[in-house]
Amino acid sequence: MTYVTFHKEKCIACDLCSEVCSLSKLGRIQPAAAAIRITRDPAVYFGEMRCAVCDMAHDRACVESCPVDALTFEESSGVVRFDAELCTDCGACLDSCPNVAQDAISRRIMICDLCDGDPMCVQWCPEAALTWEAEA
Amino acid sequence: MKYGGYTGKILTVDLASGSFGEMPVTEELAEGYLGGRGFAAKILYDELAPGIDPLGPENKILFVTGPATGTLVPTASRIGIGCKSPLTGAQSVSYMGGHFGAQLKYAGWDGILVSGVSASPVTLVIDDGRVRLDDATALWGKDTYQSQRELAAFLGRDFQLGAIGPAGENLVSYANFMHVQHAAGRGGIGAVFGSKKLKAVAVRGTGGITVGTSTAEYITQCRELHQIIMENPVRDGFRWFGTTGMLPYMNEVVGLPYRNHQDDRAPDVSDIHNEEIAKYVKRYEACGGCNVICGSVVEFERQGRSYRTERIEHESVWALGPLCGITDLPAIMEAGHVCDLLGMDTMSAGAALSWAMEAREKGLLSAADVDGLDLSFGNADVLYDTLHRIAARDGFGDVLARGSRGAAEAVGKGAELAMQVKGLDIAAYAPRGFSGMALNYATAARGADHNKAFTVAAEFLGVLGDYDRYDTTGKPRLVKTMQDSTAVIDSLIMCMFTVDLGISVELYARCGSLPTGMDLTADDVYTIGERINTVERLFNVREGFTRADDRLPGRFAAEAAPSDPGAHTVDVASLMDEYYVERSWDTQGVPTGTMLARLGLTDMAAAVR
Repeated sequence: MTYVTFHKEKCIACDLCSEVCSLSKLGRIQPAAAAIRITRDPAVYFGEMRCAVCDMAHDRACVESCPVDALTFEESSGVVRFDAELCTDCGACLDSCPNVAQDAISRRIMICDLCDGDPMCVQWCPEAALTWEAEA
Repeated sequence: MKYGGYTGKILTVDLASGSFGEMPVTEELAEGYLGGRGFAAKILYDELAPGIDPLGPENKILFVTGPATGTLVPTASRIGIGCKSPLTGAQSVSYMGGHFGAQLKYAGWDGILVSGVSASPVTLVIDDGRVRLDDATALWGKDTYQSQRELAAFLGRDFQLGAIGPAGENLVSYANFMHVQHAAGRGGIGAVFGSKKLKAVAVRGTGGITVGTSTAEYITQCRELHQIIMENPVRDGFRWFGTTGMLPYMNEVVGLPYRNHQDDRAPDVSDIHNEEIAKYVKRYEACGGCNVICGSVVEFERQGRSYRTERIEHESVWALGPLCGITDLPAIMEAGHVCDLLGMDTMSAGAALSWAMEAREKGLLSAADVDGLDLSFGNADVLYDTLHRIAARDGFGDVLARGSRGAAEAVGKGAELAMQVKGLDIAAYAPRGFSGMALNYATAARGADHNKAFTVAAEFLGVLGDYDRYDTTGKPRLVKTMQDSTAVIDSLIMCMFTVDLGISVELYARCGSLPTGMDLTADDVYTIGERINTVERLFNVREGFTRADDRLPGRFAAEAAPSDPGAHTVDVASLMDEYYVERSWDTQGVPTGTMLARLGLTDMAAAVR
């Protein structure tokens, strides 16, 4: 099982990951709807970085939460797939996991799909704060 | 709007009535002015009546982004904030990096035009298309960081924030607007916020930007642009030392103004060497969309006070250091941080202090005149207290709050010691050491701003040409063309550092074409840049600026820097005719009807007759 790993001490907050992710998935540059999103604690000066991206290693709460099979786990690729035709926009997946995002325009649910094997965010990260690793 | 990269609208805010509206960004505006500084030149010219008081209700604040802002084009995260400057009376746009500009675009706005005065302190909150004014009475009086922290605690981590500090509230002529540690910057925009009782702005955007190039092609081409920067050898200097990397070298070559420009070299800058500054670094920081990564967070202590802040920048370490004869690094870093907290420009603050120091040295000011402050060159201990007095406009601080030119006017002496052009204080590149920079200082519409044409790249670094530093041959054309191409960098809006990082004028054209879908060429860059500089000039002409304002302080033509073995001076007056010819302006520096017609500006010709 592989997934994108975040090294918060290396992240320099350039947002290139979420810019390129949203562009490649949605055809728009829209970090809030990217499958990877970087935030930081604003209550502290230069506070801790946080990254929201599917870690693929959990219990797939998003899939469990979906009442209509719009989210399914694909064994062959090891990622969660979204089917817009089936989605009822109930929001259960968004409640189930903080790493799930939604495009406010198309209502599409955004979950990391590893870009079919060569994640854009990892390619674009200038500091190797994002890596793509196999889980032991 | 047929072009990509724009949201197509500017938010209008009337603080007096608390009402909001939209101003369209038309295709004509995009084609003629591109964005950012271009939009500001045109809109400020149209919106601000001649002769208004910069701190009166008629002045307006204009936030502008460019078509590249927030779109993956390298370094394009910047936002400009424009107004009629209370420091200069000219039009002025200050730029800052960070994440504010891109967030505004994602919220659906290319800019914000703020007019009127609020009855009480307010925060402008932009949450996508939902806009409101929140009461900011509880924030009034608080420093820029505390204000942002309290807003963050209330609004949450998704908002990008900016605020003025006590300096802006008290109308200090060079007060700024701070977004985290990013400052916009010079020219006193913070005082205009203060005059309007606009304490802070918060923005959250969940929308997207559509570009005018197919997705796959766009990603490929942006990737190439990022790679050009990543592979440029100059990038390493920015990456590890930020902007401070050049300071020791500028000093070594007698290019770093010292003691209010009495010399252009400090005896010893080893204590403020970039490697000394680097010792305090805890982590590195980038602006949005940037792989240069020139920012970092430092931690240090001074006299029992401990700080966690941004690493000080080149201009700040110089203005609060060598310009004042000071090389005590913790004191300089503390002073820079204090300026950030109080919300004022480090460069004009340092220039006001160094003016006072020389006036004291020359006996123009008595100890009583300066409230007993020991304003001697080299006295690091005077910085902290004096900066607080400036922001509070307390006693002699009220004099220095007017800037070096205004301070000299207030006390009725020392005007010749105010090292400024049009009221804006000269930056860290010695006019006598770089004749092109000297001409740029004298002619830039905003005043002595090094970032309006970074000729040092061509005059010294060998990046954009191989000119002699001192020789004036060809400098009027160099300055004109660099001012024009720079206007486009400020309009996209990209970071000025890309000039040194392998982004040519042809590539700036590509950086404009990719998001917009326009087919811009290098010639278009120069034409749009010329139009922007001309409209900025028209604004100033309409305000009564003349050839007499395109000057440097007399010192630079009369006295050589003592450390300069070549004893160079610079007389920009002797270059002015040639510069005006290059610009197609008449002998008084007024754009001619023919050139206005060529640039499609005939409708503006009436204003300058």
